[in-house]
Amino acid sequence: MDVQTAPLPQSELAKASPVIRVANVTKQFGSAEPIIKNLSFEVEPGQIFCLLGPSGSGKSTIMRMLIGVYKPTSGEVWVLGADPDHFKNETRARFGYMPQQFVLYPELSVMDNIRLVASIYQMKLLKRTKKIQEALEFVNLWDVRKRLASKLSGGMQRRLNLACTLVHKPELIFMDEPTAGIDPILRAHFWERFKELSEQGHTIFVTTQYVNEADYCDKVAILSEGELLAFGTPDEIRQKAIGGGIINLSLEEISSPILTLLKQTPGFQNYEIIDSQNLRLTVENTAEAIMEIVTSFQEHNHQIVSIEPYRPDFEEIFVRLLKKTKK
Amino acid sequence: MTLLGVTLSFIRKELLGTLRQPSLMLTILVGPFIILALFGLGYKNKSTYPTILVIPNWPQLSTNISDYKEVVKDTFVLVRVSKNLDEARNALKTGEATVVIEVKENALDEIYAGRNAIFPVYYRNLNPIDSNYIEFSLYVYATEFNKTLVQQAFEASKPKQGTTQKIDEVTNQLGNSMKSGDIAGARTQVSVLRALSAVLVQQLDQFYLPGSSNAPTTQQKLLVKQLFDVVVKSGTDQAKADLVNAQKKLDALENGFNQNDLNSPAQQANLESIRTSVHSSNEKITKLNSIPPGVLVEPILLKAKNEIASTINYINFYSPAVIILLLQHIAITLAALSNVRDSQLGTIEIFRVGPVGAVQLLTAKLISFMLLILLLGSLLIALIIAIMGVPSVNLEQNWWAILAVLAATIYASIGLGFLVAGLSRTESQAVQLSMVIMLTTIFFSGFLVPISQFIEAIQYFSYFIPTAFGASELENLLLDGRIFDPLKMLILLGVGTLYLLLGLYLYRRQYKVK
Repeated sequence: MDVQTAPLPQSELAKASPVIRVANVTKQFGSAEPIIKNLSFEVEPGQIFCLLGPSGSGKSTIMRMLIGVYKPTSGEVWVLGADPDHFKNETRARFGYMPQQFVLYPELSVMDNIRLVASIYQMKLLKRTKKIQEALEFVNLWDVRKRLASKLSGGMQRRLNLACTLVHKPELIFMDEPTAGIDPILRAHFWERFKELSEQGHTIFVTTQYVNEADYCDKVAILSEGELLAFGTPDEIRQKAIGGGIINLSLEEISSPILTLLKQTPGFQNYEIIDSQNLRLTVENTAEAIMEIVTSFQEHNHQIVSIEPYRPDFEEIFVRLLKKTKK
Repeated sequence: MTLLGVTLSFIRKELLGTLRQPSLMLTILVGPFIILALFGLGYKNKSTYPTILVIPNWPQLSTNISDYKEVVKDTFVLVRVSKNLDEARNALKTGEATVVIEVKENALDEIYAGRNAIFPVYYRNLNPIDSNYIEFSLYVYATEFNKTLVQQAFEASKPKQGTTQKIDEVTNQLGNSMKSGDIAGARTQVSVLRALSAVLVQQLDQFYLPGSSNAPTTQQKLLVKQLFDVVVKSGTDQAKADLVNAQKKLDALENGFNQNDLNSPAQQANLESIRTSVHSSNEKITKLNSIPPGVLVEPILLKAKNEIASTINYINFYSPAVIILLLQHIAITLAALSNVRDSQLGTIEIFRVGPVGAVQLLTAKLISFMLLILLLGSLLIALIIAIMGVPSVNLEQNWWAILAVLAATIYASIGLGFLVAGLSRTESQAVQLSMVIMLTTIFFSGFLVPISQFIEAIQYFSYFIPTAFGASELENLLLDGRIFDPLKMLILLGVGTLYLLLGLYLYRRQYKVK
């Protein structure tokens, strides 16, 4: 687990290699309740890091602290080895930022918009043409490069935003809810692209409120009301939320002897009867438990219609985590 | 290199953004021409006011307009002659007339009582400029009216031409009587001649000539006192001297007659002297009589000549100012809306996260806007010269100065635009502020009212309005070939820099880490 609960010494932070390091950060505007409460996490190079949480959970505030728009009230933030409060232009050129909304000029063409952004990132006039083409091809907008941005669909505008973020080949890419408000097919397409970028060595820091998108990521931080509910790989978070593995078991008939037998399974935690034939078991180790159940049922001459591990989606995980926190 | 790249991108962005809006292009380029052309074609350069003349209720006076056309004319267009003042004043309310002139029936009594006769004039007009014009026209009108009366008086006071002719006739008769030995007739003719010359001397004494007073006024001294002395006044004096000489010779003749010397060579010499004096006097009196009364009433006229190197008319005068005003407005709105729009669209987020600072960004915008608006300004100036015939004195030598004036004005206007952007949260706020600046410019930049007509504090305030400098200097350059005052240019550049720094300060607040 990378979640830090105790304050990290500054000297240790400075020496560390993570692309992003957030240590004990609290952000408060005026005298209001803090929006971010004592948050710590790290992002390693090449990772797709997902900050997951509902609206108002503080995702955008964290992102704004990482890109140097907001300053933490307390705690420390390091991005690419630098304090965002004092980013130099060399550091700024190493990352890209994709805002949540379409923020480019609607009266300009796709090409003109990306050219403008390329110039902001100091890309030389003669050398940027190839990179612009690559970025537009990457998001499948090369064929419509002459079209006015105002004539693009919402999804295409989002892709143009992405192309503009990628045009200068940043090491680190910040994306603020890049898939918000777009259809599921395009969302999946976006995540494929993110995966490709990650494979090319880019580090991606992405926020989303679609909990199921967490499965696309290497690391996930789940945020609620400014607090970190969970942090880790998607499987680690599942584990933490459920407290073990889940097995879906389908029988011809559920009886007391069968339930007694199931309780004797090593690592058994609890069961949930779905209907007269189906039940769901929570166990410590899914693979070991399935083997044990199959063996013991054969020994006791009970019929199994089907048995399989159940992988709950992240929505369910998120709800479980929330419930746990409230308890 | 960064600045160049960003600047080129912004030039491209603004150019493309403008070119993709043909209606905007049309408005910017064709709009000013349509406005100026309509102004030139439609402006009649003369106000006229429908006028009712109210005359005394005397039976011998008609109310027929044609009888008074020569009395009420030019600025005041006679629409009715009435004998009822209340009815006429009511016509001011209905809009039938703008002016009512009342001729008082006791006017002559007032004059003879030693007072000015006052003709009340009523008018109904909200516009102070129009009101001033009406009152000024009334002053001119009264002066003209009085001048006509004075001309008549001058005409009446001239020495009578008949008297001089009679003197000639009687002198000839005297010669005949002397030749024929008619001493009684000669005595009578001498008496008549003495009387006529006395009358003529009296008429000459009563005849007023400009510059003839014994204690010359400053005006007479300043103007052509000596000229009057030599040409005119000395003429009357000589005429009088001739007549006095003739009277002396008449006395000599009469003395000869008393000694029965009617036609001796000495008497013939006296007669010849009388003829010469009478002839000389008549010549001078004829010359005085030939001076028209109009000249006597207005002996001095000031003839003005504008030393400006081109022909001035309203289109020529207003075209450069309209262009500068337009450029200022475009520069302010372009700069202001550009920054506000970046904030509203969210593009500012990309800029502030990227490796480009606020100074770099505003400098790139400043340069790109300046180049574009400078191009537009140059095009507009070329068009008003080529199409509308606005003069361009010494254009070959002064083109650089025209560009410098345009550049300085645009520079300060863009600075003002950045300041407006810093004070506005929304595009509509920026537009409203730009309109307020436009209104301020129209009133305090000399566009509507010359700056010299304001109090000193307001005159200094005008230094903060780019158009105040730009319009007057472009007019001076195009219409008179006069190069700008470098100090004024420096002041404008200083003001522009102040605006830019304030705009930058406000813009950088968006870059501040919160």
